[in-house]
Amino acid sequence: MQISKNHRASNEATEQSIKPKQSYWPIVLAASLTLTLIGVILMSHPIIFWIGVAFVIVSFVGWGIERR
Amino acid sequence: MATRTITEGVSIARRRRLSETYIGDWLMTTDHKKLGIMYMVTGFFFFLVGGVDALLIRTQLAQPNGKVLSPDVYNQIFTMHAITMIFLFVMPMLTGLGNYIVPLMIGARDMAFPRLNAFGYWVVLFGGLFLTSSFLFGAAPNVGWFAYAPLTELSGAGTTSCGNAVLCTPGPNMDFWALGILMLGISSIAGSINFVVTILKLRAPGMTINRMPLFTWMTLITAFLLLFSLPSVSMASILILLDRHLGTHFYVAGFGGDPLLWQHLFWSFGHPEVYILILPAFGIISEVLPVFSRKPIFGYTFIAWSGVAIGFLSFTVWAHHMFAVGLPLVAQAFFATSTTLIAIPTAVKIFNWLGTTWGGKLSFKPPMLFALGFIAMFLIGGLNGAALAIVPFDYQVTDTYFVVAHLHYVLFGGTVFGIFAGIFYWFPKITGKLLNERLAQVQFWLMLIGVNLTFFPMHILGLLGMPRRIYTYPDKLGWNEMNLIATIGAFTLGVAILVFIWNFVVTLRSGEAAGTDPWDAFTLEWDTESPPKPYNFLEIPTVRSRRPFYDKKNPETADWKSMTH
Amino acid sequence: MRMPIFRGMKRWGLILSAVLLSSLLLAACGENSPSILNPSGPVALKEANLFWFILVVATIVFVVVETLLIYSIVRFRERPNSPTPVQTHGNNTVELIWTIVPSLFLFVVLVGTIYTMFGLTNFTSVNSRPLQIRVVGHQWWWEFDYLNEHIVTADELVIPVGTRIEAQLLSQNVIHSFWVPELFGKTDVVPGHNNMSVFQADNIGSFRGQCTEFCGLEHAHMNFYVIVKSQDDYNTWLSSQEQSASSTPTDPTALAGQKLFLGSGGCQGCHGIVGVNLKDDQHLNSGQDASVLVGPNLTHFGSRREIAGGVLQWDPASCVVVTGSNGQPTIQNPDACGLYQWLKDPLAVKPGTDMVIRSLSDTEIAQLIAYLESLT
Repeated sequence: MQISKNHRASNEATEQSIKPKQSYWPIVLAASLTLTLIGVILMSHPIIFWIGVAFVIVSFVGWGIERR
Repeated sequence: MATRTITEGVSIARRRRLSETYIGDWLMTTDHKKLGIMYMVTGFFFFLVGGVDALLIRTQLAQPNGKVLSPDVYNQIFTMHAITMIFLFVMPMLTGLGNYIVPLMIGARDMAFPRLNAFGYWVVLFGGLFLTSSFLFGAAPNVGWFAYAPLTELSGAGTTSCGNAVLCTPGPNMDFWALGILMLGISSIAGSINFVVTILKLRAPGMTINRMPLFTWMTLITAFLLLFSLPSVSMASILILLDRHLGTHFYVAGFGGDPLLWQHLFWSFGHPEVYILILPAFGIISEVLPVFSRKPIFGYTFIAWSGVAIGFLSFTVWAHHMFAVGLPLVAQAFFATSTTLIAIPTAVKIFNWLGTTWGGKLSFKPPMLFALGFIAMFLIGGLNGAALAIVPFDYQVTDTYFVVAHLHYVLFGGTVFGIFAGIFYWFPKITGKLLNERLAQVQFWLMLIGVNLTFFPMHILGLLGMPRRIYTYPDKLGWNEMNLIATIGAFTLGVAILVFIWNFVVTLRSGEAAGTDPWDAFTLEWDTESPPKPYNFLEIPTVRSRRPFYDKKNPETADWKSMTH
Repeated sequence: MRMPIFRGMKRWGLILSAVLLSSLLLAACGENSPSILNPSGPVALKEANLFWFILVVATIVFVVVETLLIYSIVRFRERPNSPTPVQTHGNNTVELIWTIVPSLFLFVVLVGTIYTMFGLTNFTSVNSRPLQIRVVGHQWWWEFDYLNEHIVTADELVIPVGTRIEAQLLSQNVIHSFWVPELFGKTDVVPGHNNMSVFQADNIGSFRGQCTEFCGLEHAHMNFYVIVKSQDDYNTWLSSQEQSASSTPTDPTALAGQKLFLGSGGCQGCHGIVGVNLKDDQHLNSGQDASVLVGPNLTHFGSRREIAGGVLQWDPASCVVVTGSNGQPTIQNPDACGLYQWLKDPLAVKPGTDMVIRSLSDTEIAQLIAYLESLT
């Protein structure tokens, strides 16, 4: 019988409920930040900087609304 | 209450998510132990990079009129040596150790902000790669790690290009510096917020501030120092970027700016930074010495609060890096006073560590070797540092190899020895294996000899008039022998590190199993499996003294029975 | 774990300290290093005495603390029958003592430090009138303007013994630092600031100075010499410096050299010679300020020995002009002549230098050297 982890009969703690959940937003935000700063170095092609900024904004939002 | 158990989750047959693959697990992890390991591995990698920089420098300086490195390459390498060692080795390494150990020490299941923790790590990795990649463009920062203006400006004052004399820094070298520092600052701020909240809010029941381990104390103070000092250098970096790219003149005299503004802003960060580099090492020593002396740390309260005093005072001493710039004498006297003052809590710590070993039962396992070596070498760094506070003497030796001697005695003889003490101490907890003792002894003696061979002659070179940051020096000035000795010492240190790497590899492959408590230690992190389970503790313990694990193992002579804390 | 090397460590500790100390002293006394422990002026003397005091104190503290450490290691190491140690947590009395005693001592040192700081430039001079010099830091050489005597030199600062020197420190580019270890501690040369270095030399001789603040590519080659002469010798030197250079050298080779100096694309684009393209130490013939010239004043180059911030040295004895096999002037032994190497390829000698010139033939170099040698 399959039991989903949200409906547990007993009060037992599982590893998944005690460990902090994984997330990809930290590495995505870090990469976006790096891209933005590389964009500052390569300001002769400002598109890189602006793509980086866009990704940073998306990452902030994604991080914020992520369900934990 | 029924017995607590923690079970593995129910698994359902389906395609593996990214987070369940080996790589995906590491890329998406928010677990403080995994991130601690990642920080430390990254830090150690950059230690090797910075070490190669150092060996290149010493090869160039082994003889007068060296031709190993051109001046341009040399200037990039000595700049990057410092930046790599400070920002990409020591800080990540100490953050990593703190990340792994502090939650365990305080009886927590993880840090307060797990995603922020991961973010801090990835920024260090990407920032470090970004900064180091500058070498590939031939444009690594080449203005010294302290990057004084107006050398870092884009063009000479009043002109739009630098001409042949390379008056300033026309290439992106300085942009790499500023952006790299901004990135690494962001990482440290994220990490510091995490440490402050974790330590203040997630301690186990009964663990008051006055009962938490000293490594945790020092990490907390360090986190506050980072939070209050990083804004200074971040601001300075932004201002130089504005000067270079948007035509402002914050640091250019003749347009209303002042080169000294940079120095004040930089050293307002730079001085707390050096305490950031040493305080966690003080914490490690304060953990190791008691365990290997079989008695508690002597003067816990004094060590803890002298750390706090150092933290506060570190914001009052910055201009002792600027005694020669022409500040009014009264200002110099103020900074001489504050610098003298900060020597006192540091001395108190050394005496308390000696008090810990006094009357103890000392065993010289590898962590203890490095802890004792730390005391011996840091003392020298403290003495020559106190000498630099004596302003008229400083006028002679500032910006000479005397200062290079000082900073390396405290950073290598101090922090690096402290880091190795921590590595040897906690390696069995992290991996479940014991590093080889014989190899550790070889490494220790090579390092002790190497540090003194490399850096003691630099005191003499400074007294004999050799300036810092010169890519070569002439013959017949009496500097040749000391430089050669220093180079030999540097390669000795290189061999010592190779011995460590060998030890590390061999132990991971076939090392002796460590068990949960190989050192019969006192603090909570040892009351777990080796390595600890993902959830750290089956039950969060209740703490009644400063040595909760000692109490558990020795209920008749437990600390809480005799102490009122 | 047995560690036989620890036996007798107290003895080793003392031997080690003795060796280190003596090596310090030996090193300080030997060779011709610009050593701060070789003071030849009142400022450096006060600073050197501070060092000896620091050394004594630091050695005492070092020996005491290291001895305690080594003693603990030996005395308290675990032996098979060692008892469990007393679980001492601390001792407030001891804490108080070892906080207060060092504090008192440090306070005394601090008072001495501040007292010395404020009295550094209180020294007696033989001359009643100080010599005022304007020191200008370039990238990467030093200019010395004698404000009241109206002469300009580079890389060599000639002063009379026992005279108070007041040096204004100026830079139009980056930060440098003005330091002569045997005479005085350093003061930075900061653009936009009017720093002053006050010192005196009490011994006759030649003292090496160097830039001590990283100032770019060739920071390592920004050296200079302070040449201290007796009052009489200084006066002699001064009067010869105050002469303008001859507008027509008598030696034909030197005359050819002067033509090269003045010719199109010639040296006068960056260098000044009073009486040739400068009407006085501060002005071109046109009246324009001489600071537009990027290179050092060469009016009396023949009496100087430093080239380009001390990266090379030269003297007429190793730069002899002879007639070559082709009938043209040439340098007898080019490899021994620093000036030849400099003129042949400045960028190879000092990468990054502003002296970017066209390639000169050996004949032209010989002519220039003959001319420069005549500028005594």
